Amino acid sequence: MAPLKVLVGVKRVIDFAVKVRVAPGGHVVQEQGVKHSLNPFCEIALEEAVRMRERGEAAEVIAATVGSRQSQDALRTALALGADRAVLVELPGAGPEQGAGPGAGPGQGAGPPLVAAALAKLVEREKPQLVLLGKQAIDDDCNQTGQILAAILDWSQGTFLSRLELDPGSSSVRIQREVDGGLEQLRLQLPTVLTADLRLNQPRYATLPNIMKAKKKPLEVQPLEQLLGGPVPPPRLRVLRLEEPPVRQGAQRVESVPALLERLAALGRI
Amino acid sequence: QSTLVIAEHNNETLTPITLNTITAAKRLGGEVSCLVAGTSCDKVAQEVSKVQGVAKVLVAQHDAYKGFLAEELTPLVVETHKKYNYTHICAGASAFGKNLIPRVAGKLDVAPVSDIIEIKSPDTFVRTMYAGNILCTLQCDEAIKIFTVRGTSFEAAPASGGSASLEKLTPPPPVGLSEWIDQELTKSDRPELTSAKVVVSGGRGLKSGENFKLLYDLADQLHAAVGASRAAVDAGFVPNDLQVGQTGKIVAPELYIAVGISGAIQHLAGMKDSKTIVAINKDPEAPIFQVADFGLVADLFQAVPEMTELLKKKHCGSMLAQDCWKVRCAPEDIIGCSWPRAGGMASPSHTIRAVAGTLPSCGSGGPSAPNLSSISGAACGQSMSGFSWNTLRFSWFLQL
Repeated sequence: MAPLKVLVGVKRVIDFAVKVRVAPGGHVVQEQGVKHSLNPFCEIALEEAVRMRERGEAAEVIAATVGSRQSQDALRTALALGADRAVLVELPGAGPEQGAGPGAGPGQGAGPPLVAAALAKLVEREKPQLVLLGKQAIDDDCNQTGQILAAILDWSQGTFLSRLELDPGSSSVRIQREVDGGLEQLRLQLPTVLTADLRLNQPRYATLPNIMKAKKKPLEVQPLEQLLGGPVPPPRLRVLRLEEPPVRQGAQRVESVPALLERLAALGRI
Repeated sequence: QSTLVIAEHNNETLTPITLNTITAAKRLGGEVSCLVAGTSCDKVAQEVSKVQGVAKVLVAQHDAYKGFLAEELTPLVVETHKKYNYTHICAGASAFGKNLIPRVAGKLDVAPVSDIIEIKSPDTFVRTMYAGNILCTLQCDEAIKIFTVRGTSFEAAPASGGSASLEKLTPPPPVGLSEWIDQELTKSDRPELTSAKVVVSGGRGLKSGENFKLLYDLADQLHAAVGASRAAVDAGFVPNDLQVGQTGKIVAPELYIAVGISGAIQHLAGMKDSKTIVAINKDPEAPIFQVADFGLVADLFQAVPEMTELLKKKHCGSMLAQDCWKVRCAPEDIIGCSWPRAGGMASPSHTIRAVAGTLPSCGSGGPSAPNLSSISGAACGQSMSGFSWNTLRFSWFLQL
């Protein structure tokens, strides 16, 4: 089988270690001056694609994102981690750190349906046999984009991926996925959309030489309207309010195991 | 207004989260229908028809539904929707629902809403973002609202008392894009993680998979499910289905005991709605202590076995108090709470096993509930002077 062309969807998110705050007004979170990174699940998806290319199973790895100009950071990281080229599908109006642009989802930036629609257009243009995504972005925690994309394309889908094997000589992949009770194995016809779970692989770190090389790799910017061939549809989910959940009272220290059990018994918990 | 709930099951029994989802569906108002699709699901359809609040059960049976693949189920849901024009379509936010619902939404060109924790009105929902650190109230302007429901945020609908009508659906032709091959499911006699009243979870601090036995022993005393942090799963100590957190399972038991878990944001996202949280960690700076109700700074390899032993003795103690057992309290002879605690009568086999432990009794409690702190290891096997109160009433046990 000829090596595959792989499209990897990535997202720039607030770094997982940042304590997220609601911005004044209560409709968006504080983004300014906050560390952003590549969504960890996207890193895993990208790593899998890069390994496929290193094994000779993939011919080309294209990283794509839908977002503001800032999302170029995520694409440069993706290039440093091994993607061959990158495409930024730029949201209109979402200038530097402007928060929600048109078509905003329940988080900031574009929501999963719009991202999936944009990626579907890229698939039409690039004709990959495999699209790899993270199973969810750690900002909106939606866990939808891969499934919606597979629906739009009418492709098979493999979510919560923990192992990927190409079937030699055939046009399918064999995957293992994480489900509530354990693991299951599926065979999926190519082309397919796969979403990476935590244990698919251990992503590599970007090395300094690779970060330098990434600056020379091609990064295309395409406005979303142009890619969609029409105006960006309005958002269909409206954020009425964002708030921080009530803070739990901190621990009462107990000195010993019997003391702990006594407290739990007093509460009727044991 | 009408809602379609997509039932999750294994052709044998209904998955509990479906009952929570039905409660959420009822809260919307309007009629609730349930779609049961599988390879052989008459039994499950019967089960669903008895759930309170379900008006209609739609049953679709076909070999193509083997493995409950989203590719095969989606056309069925879409066809069913075309026939009945629902205002809402939902499923539990489990691996099944998360896989299926967005695909259905994609086919119907609707923006789905993931993992809702509250229904404000038929078009306004609350969900969490950023690993549970932000609550988002959002209004869905779609003609059809398609969403998944967090099981721990809604009560389970009563599984009996309902009498829904049953209707067979004609499955649309198979899609054939994917094929289910096999599965490796973890077998356990313990309660299911997401619905257990008590959860004992272990983290990297356990150091190895073998050491998780300490937690299983503790869990046995508490009738608890066992969970794990991502670090413990990634390290290969336990299988993935034990993971509690942002990307694993969301739990909200009455009691959550975090053992050797530092408390990464993504883990807290999966358990911070628990009613009482206990943290046992030797690092006093561990972030888990910031969300725990009770924190014990201790070496888990000492604290956990001690806790297990004390609980064994507590069970023995409550039996002494409630059932007036007059037996030696050899903890290894007593298995968890399987003893009859109310009613006072044990089966003969229990009695024999208890008596086989023989005198003298343990504990120093009286007829009242035993004071835990007084039941220490040293008390076990001490003189039985404190127990004359029950000797006469139950001496016949000893005659066996």
